[in-house]
Amino acid sequence: MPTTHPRRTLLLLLGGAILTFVVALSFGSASISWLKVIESLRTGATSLDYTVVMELRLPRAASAFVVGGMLALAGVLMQVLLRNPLADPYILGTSGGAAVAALTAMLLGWHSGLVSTAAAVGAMFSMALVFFLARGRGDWAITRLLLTGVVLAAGWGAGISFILAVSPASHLYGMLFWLMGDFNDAGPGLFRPLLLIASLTGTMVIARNLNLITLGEDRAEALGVHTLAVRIGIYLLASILTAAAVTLAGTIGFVGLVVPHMVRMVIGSNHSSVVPASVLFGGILLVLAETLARTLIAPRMLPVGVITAFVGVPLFLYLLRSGLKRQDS
Amino acid sequence: MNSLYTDQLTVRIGDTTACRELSATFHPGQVWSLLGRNGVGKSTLLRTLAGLRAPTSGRVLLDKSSLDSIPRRQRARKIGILFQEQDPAFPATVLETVLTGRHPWLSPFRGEGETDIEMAQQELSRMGLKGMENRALSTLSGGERRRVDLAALVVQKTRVALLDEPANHLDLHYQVDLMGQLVGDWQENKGVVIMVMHDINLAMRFSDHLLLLFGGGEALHGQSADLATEENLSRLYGHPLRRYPASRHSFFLPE
Repeated sequence: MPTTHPRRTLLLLLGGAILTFVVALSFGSASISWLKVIESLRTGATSLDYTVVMELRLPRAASAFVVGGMLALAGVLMQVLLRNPLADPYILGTSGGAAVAALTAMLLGWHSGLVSTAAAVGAMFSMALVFFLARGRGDWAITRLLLTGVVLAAGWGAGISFILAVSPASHLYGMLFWLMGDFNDAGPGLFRPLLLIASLTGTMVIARNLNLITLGEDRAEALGVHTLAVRIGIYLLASILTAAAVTLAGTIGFVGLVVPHMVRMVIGSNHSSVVPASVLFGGILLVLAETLARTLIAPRMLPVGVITAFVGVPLFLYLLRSGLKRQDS
Repeated sequence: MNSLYTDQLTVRIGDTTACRELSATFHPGQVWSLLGRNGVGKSTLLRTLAGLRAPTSGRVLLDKSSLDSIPRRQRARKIGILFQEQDPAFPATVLETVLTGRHPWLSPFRGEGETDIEMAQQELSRMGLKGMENRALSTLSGGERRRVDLAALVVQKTRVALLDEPANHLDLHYQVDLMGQLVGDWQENKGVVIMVMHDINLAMRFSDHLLLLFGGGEALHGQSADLATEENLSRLYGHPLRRYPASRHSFFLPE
């Protein structure tokens, strides 16, 4: 299939990421002057423009980039793990566990820091549950893993509906925003960017193993890959990335599902290129979505998860069609 | 050197026993065909010989060490296996697929180098697939895919080659010429070839030894000349076969 040069595509994405940040910092409900921002950077004197850019827009954009990268990477890993192109970071219930715990915390009126902690605990609980339930006699069959995860995710889904149904109306707005995915002005902190970089590096080192596993588990094993160890590693990494993304920004949909596909359509299926390209593209897509979310109906905000779908669906369909045409010709 | 042994090997899958307490030695330079009816456990036995499946009892040994004691990567440098057709989950290109054979030889921190790519391309042109390096596997015919997989096995450079119905989908010309070349290469390099064969006459053409699985764990192994009798083969396939002697080897046709 594709014959584009991976290195060129990666450079292009890197440039795109920088450009996206400039766009994200430039647009918003207040118009700012870059001259003033640069002057503040130079002299150290604060100005309103500087504050808007550095303390409001930059943290949000950085969060969006990191979350986008994490979700895209988790999506790539889940698709390899389940050998299923329909897999996404949420498919095995990690996010459902996080959501139920987060909503419960909101229902109890806990403050936002505790909501994130609850979400993390919920995600880890769900992750461990799937891991042990899916483990049969030593092996770890894809079908059982998938079914266990999907059924558990459905259970969490019912839990979410239940909490929404019994919650007072005053809580609902915040809950829905959390579920659809949203950023606050807190920024990504230090842990999440480091986690993303470490996961990216680790995944790059085992990229060839991922290629072999997508060709078939038998085949990978015959070529010397410890498939069970790799698959368990992938599962844990993808779940932790998903948990880290969801606790920061809620369950933003679509990025983890389609970004890996879009990247594969353009760059091929070699994971040494697919992995870094997905992280960059996931980041870019989410930064753009975040910018749109706070500018489209400014000063009001839209949930980012809605925008990712609005941007992603047509883009995905376009790439799918042009990819098909290329294959036919 | 580089002999593969089975020591009191029993392989069972579900209710089927492929072989019971089989002790056979596959010496370097020998070409074996594994024959038997559908569902008798040929592929399962082959996977056991590759070290991908634990024996029900007994051992498979390479030289002096039991397969399960050899680290996977080392094992993958010594034993290669061609599977029956498998569908990849995501589209891969021809060249990418052939290069997978180099995996056991590559460090995790370095990608495939010039020599690996050269090796792959050389094999592709021998397989009649020159110029198709960047084609997606899904656009290839069954026979072409088979040859891609064969090329991947060759670049793995193993001493032991286990082939599950290698001639499947191949045109007559490739069945005879290509298979002849490949098997000849392994023989020359003092390797061992064990292949599951569907066609008794192709098996007779390429192999000097036979391993017959009769079902229920009963197996016979030895030189083709001794084992390829009308009686054995008729019993093997549950259908009377007649032998027609020819210049280099005999032909068997169903009655």
